[in-house]
Amino acid sequence: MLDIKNVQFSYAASKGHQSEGDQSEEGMSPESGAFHFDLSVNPGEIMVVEGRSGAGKSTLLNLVSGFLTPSSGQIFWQGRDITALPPQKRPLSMIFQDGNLFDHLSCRQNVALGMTPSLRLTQNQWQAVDKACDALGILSLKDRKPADISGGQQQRVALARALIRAEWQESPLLLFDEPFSALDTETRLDCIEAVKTLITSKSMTGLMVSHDPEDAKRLAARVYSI
Amino acid sequence: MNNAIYPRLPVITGLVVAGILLLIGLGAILSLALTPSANLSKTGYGFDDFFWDTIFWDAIFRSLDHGRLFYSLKNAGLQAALSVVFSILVAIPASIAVARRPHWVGMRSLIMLVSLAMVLPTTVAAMGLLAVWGRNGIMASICGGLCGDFSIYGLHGVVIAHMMLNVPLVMRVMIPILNAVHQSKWRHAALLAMSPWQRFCHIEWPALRGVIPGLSSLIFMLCFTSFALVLMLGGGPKVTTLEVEIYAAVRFDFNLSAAAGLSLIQFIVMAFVVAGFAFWGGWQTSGDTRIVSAPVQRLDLTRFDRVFDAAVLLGIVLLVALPIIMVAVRGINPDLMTVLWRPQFYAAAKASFSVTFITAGLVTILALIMAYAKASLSLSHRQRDVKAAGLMRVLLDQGMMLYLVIPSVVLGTAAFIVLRDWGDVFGYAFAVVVMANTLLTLPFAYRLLERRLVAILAVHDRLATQLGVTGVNRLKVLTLPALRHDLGLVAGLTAALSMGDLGVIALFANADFRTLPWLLYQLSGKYAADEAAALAFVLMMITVALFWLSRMIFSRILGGRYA
Repeated sequence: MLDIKNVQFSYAASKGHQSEGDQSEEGMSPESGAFHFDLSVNPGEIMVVEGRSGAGKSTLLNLVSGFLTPSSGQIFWQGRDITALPPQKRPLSMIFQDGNLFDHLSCRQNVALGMTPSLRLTQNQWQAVDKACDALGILSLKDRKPADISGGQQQRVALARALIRAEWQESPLLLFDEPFSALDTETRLDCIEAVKTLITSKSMTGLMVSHDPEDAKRLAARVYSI
Repeated sequence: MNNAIYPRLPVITGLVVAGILLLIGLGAILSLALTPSANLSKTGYGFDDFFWDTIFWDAIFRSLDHGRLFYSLKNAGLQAALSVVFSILVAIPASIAVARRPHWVGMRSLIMLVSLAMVLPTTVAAMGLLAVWGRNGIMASICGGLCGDFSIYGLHGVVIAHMMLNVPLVMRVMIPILNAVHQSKWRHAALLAMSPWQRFCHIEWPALRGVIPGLSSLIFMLCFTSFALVLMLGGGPKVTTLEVEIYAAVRFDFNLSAAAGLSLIQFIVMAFVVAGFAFWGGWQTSGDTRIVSAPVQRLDLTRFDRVFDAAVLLGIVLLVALPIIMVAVRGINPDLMTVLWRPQFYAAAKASFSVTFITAGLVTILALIMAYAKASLSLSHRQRDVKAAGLMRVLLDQGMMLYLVIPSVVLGTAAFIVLRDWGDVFGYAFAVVVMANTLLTLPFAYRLLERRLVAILAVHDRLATQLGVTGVNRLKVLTLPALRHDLGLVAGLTAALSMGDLGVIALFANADFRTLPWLLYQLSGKYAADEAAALAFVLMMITVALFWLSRMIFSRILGGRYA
């Protein structure tokens, strides 16, 4: 379970960061430019984060992933305090709108990066990589480069990598930052289905920032609005 | 906290390297500045006295022949300015023609020859031009007595040679820019029935003008300090430049004070020129050199454009391609074997290859170290102290800019003066030539890599960090494979340039240490026409082979299993 307890954050110099007034009760207090988050997500569940631009959606993901440090409060993963851990030590994977893959590596190698950063895998591990590719329906694309496949397929490769990290690196927490905004409606529905299956069948934990209220409905997810 | 996430070692290493390079450059300038007045300081003047007094400048000017100084200064400036203007004026229509005629017969060969001209050693280029326009060249034999009194020797010969080498450089930058123009713009030009001139004003010129200040600055620097071409095509003492005067002062008059004074003046002039151009538009080159052009359908072209393109491309063939072809034609002669069997050739080839390999390796590694530091400092999400990062970026950039302003002969003269007190100057020839070549190609290598690395890191840095791909793994799996084409280009360019360089070697060449370009320069002045032609051909083939092989090998090795 992911527990975000009373986490506060403010961009100290707050230069270039837009602060819109009048935000909803849980988000930021307008006069200080500070954010306040308090939520928890259960295993096998995905929570969708909604709010206007500038409300602090990406800030929340950066706090959880460790790219930003809260000024107060704590973040727990299965009861363990992870607030002070550097990003690479945290049990999570991130999926952004684009740029999730390394262009010079094949899809299979991109997935394998989730196994070990040195890309030296044993026979067993390569089989696991292929299995993950198969689970996301991209096994036939595994030797192609990211530039040669569609946007939706790229997101599936990133999901396969997240699956590997969940199963082999004990990193079952998934953070999504507008993962489907660049996709057409049909591909979007496909990907949402894939995420739903992944979360429930592997009992992973998801936190997704999204602009589209439909996403939450399709995922049957709880909504955290800021 | 950010320090815990991102390692600082690459940044620190980069800054240390930049600092050392900056000190070498400043040391060279200082040693030159003090030489003319060094004798005065022995007669009771303290450092402060002569540095701040007019004595310092008096000493410099007294060691110089004023008439010759201003004459050579005027000459260098004039030929450089003409070279800039004509190179750009020719390259603009040439780039436009090449960009919109990808399917014309022979276009691929022409593009290949043009890109070859960029790495052509100056000595070889001069031989090629002589084979076309010289007294025994094909032009003279074609038009017989009609154009009898045309001679390539002189100021115009130097300018033509500079155009031959620099028009390809400008085209290399401009063609990708034209290819990147969106197809809809050409369609609008057709729909609005624009004339070729209107199309140029509304589409092509706005796309191209941004790179012109930077390219002008670069060409001016290259031509102002041009040396081999002035010696070989200048046609005697009538056409001289500062660079040639410095060479003469060191080699023939052994007047080191004069050489130091001249070098200093050259450095100051160059610094002003670069600053001026920077003020005009800054250093700009096209970012991505590997834009793959999807063939764009052009419905806006008229019959006038067709004639125009044909004429322009014919001009490029005459200016760039024909001399290169003539080097091959003249070079394959019975004396080819004679040259290859000479012991001097072996010694020079050995020296040249040693210099080239060490230089290419050093430049690639140093450029990568500094580019990585610059890229790390450019990522806003990594910085806690934005101001400090900005200052460190300036240090890196300026450390590199310095070597754009210091011509190789200036660096060589400084080394000559410093090493003079340490024993036999010529014993250090190898080290000095390697150092000079390294320092002079480093700015270009740095620029090339830095842009790509900033772009790559901007996309991948967070993702890689989050996946724990750090340290050596990051280098092996991500950075080097992603950069392999760029590193190959850097290594290839550096290798080709230092193989063909005739700068510092002119000061340090001696019976024990000669490079291939120096050997060629000596042969060309010795009425051994066939042998010189053969050697020019060999040198050209070596340069081309180095250029292509480096790129191929780098792509293979660095790509390896990870690309």
